[in-house]
Amino acid sequence: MAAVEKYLKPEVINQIKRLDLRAQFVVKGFLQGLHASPFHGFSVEFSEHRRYSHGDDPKDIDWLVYAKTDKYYIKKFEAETNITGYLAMDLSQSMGYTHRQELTKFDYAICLAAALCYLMVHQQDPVGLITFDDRLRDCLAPKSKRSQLGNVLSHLANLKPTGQTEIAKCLTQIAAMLRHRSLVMLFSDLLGDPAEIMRSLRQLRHGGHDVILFHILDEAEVSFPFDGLVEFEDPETHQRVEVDATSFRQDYLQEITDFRQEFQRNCRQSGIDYVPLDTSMQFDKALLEYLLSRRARG
Amino acid sequence: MAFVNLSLLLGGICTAIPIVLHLVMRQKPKHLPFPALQFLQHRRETNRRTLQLRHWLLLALRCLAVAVIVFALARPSVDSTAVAGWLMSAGLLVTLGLVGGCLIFTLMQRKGRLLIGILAALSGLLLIALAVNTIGSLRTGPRVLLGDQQAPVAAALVIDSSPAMMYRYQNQTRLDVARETATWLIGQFSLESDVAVVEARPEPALFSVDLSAARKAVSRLQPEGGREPLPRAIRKALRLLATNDKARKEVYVFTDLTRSSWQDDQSGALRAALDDAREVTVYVVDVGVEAPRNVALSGLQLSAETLAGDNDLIVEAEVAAVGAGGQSRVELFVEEPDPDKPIIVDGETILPRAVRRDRHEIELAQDASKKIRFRVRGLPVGVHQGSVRLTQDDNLAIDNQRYFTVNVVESWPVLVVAPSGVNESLLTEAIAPFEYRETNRARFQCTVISQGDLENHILQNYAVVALVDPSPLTPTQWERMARFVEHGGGLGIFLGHNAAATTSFNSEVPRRLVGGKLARIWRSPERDLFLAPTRYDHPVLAPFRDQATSVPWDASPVFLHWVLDELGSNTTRVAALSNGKPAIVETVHGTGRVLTWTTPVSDPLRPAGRTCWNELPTSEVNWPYFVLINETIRYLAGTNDQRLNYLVGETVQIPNQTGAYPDRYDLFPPHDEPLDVTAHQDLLTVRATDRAGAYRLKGFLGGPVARGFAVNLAPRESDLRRLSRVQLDELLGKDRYQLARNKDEIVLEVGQARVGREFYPYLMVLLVIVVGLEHLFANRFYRQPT
Repeated sequence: MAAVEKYLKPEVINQIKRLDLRAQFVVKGFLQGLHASPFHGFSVEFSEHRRYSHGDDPKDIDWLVYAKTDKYYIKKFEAETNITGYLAMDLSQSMGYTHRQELTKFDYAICLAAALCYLMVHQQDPVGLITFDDRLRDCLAPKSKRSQLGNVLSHLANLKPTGQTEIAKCLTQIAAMLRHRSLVMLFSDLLGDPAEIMRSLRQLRHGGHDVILFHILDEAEVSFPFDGLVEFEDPETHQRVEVDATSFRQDYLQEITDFRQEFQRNCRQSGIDYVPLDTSMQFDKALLEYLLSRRARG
Repeated sequence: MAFVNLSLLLGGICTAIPIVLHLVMRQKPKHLPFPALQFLQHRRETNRRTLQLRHWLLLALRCLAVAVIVFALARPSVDSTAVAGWLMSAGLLVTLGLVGGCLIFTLMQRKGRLLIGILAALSGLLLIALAVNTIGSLRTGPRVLLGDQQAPVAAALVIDSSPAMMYRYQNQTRLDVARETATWLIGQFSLESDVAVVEARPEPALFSVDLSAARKAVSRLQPEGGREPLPRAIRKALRLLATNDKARKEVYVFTDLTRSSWQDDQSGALRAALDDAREVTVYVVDVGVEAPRNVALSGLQLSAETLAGDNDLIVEAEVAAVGAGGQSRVELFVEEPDPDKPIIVDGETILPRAVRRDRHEIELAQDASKKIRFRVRGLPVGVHQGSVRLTQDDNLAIDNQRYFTVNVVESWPVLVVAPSGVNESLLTEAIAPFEYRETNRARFQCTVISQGDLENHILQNYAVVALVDPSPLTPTQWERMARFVEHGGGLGIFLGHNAAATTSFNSEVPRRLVGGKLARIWRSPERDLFLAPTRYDHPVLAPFRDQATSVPWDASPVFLHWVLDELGSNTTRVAALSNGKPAIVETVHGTGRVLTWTTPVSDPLRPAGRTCWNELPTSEVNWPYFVLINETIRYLAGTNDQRLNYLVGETVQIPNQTGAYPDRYDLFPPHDEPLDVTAHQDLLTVRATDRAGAYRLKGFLGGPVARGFAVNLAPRESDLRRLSRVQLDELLGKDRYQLARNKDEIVLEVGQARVGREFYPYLMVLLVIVVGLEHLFANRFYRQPT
């Protein structure tokens, strides 16, 4: 079990190059770590039987079928209600930042998105993908087929964070685009105007959509591990700022904390799930957040 | 301010090094991509100002470190008196730096205006105070040449050789210590130095030929009583140094700081001289003892230096204790008259034998004094040498013995001339009372004659001729009187009702003797006229000096007196009456003197057939008359002239009438070889009175003649009370001298005065602080990421 749980760690996942495997490992590692079924208590209905295989939970064995056929079959369930999920990926260049040159914010976001996609597809929830930077780039319509997982993952694997950021505008467009009540999972570093972003998020929420906001920052952006005289350059705007990092750390940490707390407060007021993350955190936190949100809607 | 290595100040250019390094090797920031730049933007300006401030602070600290190193290596020093001022400036500078730093920080942080205003005002005040203090310190400037300690100097060693310097402590006299220290000090001077050993003597001071001569001069120093006060010797040293062209001039005063040595009636002159000679450094080397213990014979008073008849000699001695008390024994010795002694036998002086005549045991409290009276009876005619001694030894032996000389003579013959009908007994009983005559104790031997018998007597056989209420004398009689006075006789003229304003009194000779013209008789029957002396400086009035305001002159009214007009040029008023007219006048004629009373001294209370002239001898309170008439006759007899007891250093003058005394004498000073002295113009003069003791004169005129005199230390020489620092400051000026008590302190004080007070240690401490701060700030500001 411990061998699987290690895949929740970003540094371990980073060593796996294939995205589908990453997603699989993350989800399996996450599920293995849970003592109870994440779906237990969900409003699900029986869909079909399948042969028992090693590793399935013995409590799912349908003993009536066993009595009739003398073979182990386990019952498969189907969610009673389907939630259409959208993975909204921020493709801005800032998402490609990593201080330790290991896992970028974008990599972290993709890995997380893939894992969530994996989870959703396995629950027959239709899942789609929206990418944006300064405008909407791609949009995969949500489907619940198993082939959708491959589509989404292959699409995610090919994404490159290179654009400018216009999160607020793009969120407004997404809100206008979605017609049915959906679960929008937004993966972004939110490096833009927070007021405008919140306004757009509220629009999205106002459209009846559930929103989980995965606020992903680099570990360095959270802890500011710099010392001495440093000239920082914004990769998007190429603006430069020269500061004495040592003396600036407290100020910066205060700023970033304020920023996150502001978002958290606003999101709570708007009924948005706000998940602050950084690239050093394990994936289970994000997944658990999703499942809790999923349960709340089940 | 002066610098030992002035040229090293050029190293101040090195302060540019940190600036150049700051500009050339400015730290290049690490370039890092960072998307969350928006969180840096808000506080960027504050951080930039902080960075700048740190840069400036570090640059300033580094420049300061270099400047402090350069300044310290240049070894700045200031006059030790100006150290406080410079330290004050340094303190103000540091405070200004702190307040200025706070002001800059406050400005950068844009704190409240009130705080900025307060800090700005405080900075301004500190700046003004700093400027004023620094200008003041610069104006004070180095009085003396600062720099190399081994440079040749012009030094004057003023060594206190007062008798108090013979105080023995730890088996060394103060003079020994002074000599030893001075000899050591001379050894410290470079060979090119000019050194003078200045003694408190009237002779001018001179530089010694070389250092070894100076050492010899120091070793020859002996205690002296009759010396100049130290302030005068210091002035003499300053005058000597003014003639020297050496750049560095120093005066060393070796003293025990006893008040007596420093007493000078012209102490202000020393301050002025020191102010004029600002280039001269003064060191006071205290060789004294903080708490001296001594019992001294501080004074000696004789009832009379010349005793007439068979009178007793009263010797009053004062014993004073300083820092000590207890029981003391005081003895009085008188030498037995022996005209053949002193005599030198086998190179040794044999003195007359001294016999103890009296002894007293006294108990003295600490720091108290007591007077003792000795009575010596039966001294035969002749000069007697005596002494009063303390028998116990103490630390200062020189004041344990005092000497006296007394001359015992026969009673002075007085010729009392009175016209018939004049009762002269009031005078004769006053100056030679019956009881005294009977016991041979009367100072005067009176011979009473009538005015008519004057021709039958040889006046030269008498010391004094008293004309009591004289009637007109013949010109011949006046001529005889004039000759008598001219040859040294004393004439008393007591004018009364027998006198007349006629040619007998107003012709040339009598006028010259009387002292003026008899103009008229002043009458004052209302008892409102009396003797009223205004000054008591004349010897006749000397006994009244101490009680001048309480003498009952008005108890003895004067009703009539002669008015003297046109007083002669050699006539002076001795005493006046209450109406301002002369009562007693003195006329000097030749070598003698005449005292003229304008009212008689022998008028009875109720004379027959006329008015009483005065009640001087007959009033109920007539003691002033007795004193006055006795002093008048004594003065005329010249008994006060012969002074026999002197202080050390005084010039002794003894009358030596040709014919009565030999012209040449052998003078036997105490503890010294005899000298040959010769009388000139009937006066024997001796100047060599450097030591206290009995000085014996031995001459020959038809037989051995023994005379002598005594020399004592002035009573103040026994006063061992020391000057306080405040009193010394008053004498020399505060911060105008350095006080040292031993060789180490001399080295320290001299070093500080020559090199000045060096700032090197302070600068090193400052450098450590600056470098430490720089290190601390640099580490904090430019901490490398781990």
